[in-house]
Amino acid sequence: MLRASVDKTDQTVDLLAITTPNVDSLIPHGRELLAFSDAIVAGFGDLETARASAVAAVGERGAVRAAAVVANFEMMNRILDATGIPVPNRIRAIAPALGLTDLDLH
Amino acid sequence: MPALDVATDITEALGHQWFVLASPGPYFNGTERRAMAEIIREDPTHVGTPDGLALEAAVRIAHRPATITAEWLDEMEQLGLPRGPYVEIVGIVSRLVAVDTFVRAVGAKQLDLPDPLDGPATGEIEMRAKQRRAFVPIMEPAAATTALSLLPSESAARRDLHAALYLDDDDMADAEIVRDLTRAQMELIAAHTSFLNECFY
Repeated sequence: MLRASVDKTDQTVDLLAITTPNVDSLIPHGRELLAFSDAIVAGFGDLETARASAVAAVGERGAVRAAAVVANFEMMNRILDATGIPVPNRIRAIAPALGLTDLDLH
Repeated sequence: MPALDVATDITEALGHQWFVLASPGPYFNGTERRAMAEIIREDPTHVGTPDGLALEAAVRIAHRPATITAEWLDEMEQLGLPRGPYVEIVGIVSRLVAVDTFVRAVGAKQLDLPDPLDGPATGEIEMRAKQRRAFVPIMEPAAATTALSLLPSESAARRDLHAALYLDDDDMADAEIVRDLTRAQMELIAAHTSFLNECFY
């Protein structure tokens, strides 16, 4: 869906930024949004600092939405892993662009 | 920095999730559901050994979901935890983690768990669900939207929270939707979160 949304709005994206630190996603304010996600999910960096940077980049409503999207995928990731819904072929097709192998997708 | 100001629709959605958590579910009553939530919150180091299969499953879903396999579920079933109650636990735990994550992320104080509501388990189960490609019975096709379809109330609660935090299921195909962030920004966050959780759906 990231690629679809980028294509629809005439943007570009480097999908490697999803999986590789310090790669510029080319999405506006992508760096701040990824740093905020890292702080929330994995404890990378200070959460308060990352939150403040996200607010500075995308505004308070944008930062709240970023938090909400992270939270939603904390839910969905657990549901999908716990229920064993198979990884769709469309994900396997873009695995190389993400720097992943088929083994990573088990 | 004070907590971020959260829009009313999200606040109301979180309140609804607390009502659902406290209410009787298909297999577990409100007291049992709340107890699972309490155990998840009280075991942040993930090394405790909770009493009971249900609590063991809840802790694993909360803290090590990428390690769940069909074989493990088969073992749990043989020990006494069938797929039906397991699906309810998946629903409870996944939404609790979402609510707690959101509240922490915006800098607010963790919400107190709700008092349980009276009443027996509802027994509301989708009898047409079948176990084929997924680990649990579902209404095909196997997809994110059908993962909890064995239990309509859990599936509905997932859909409601998903719509409040991210997008309504009906908007998922809209690549240009803007909701405080562009769709591309939301998808970047979604993909990275999933990568960090080792979930490659």
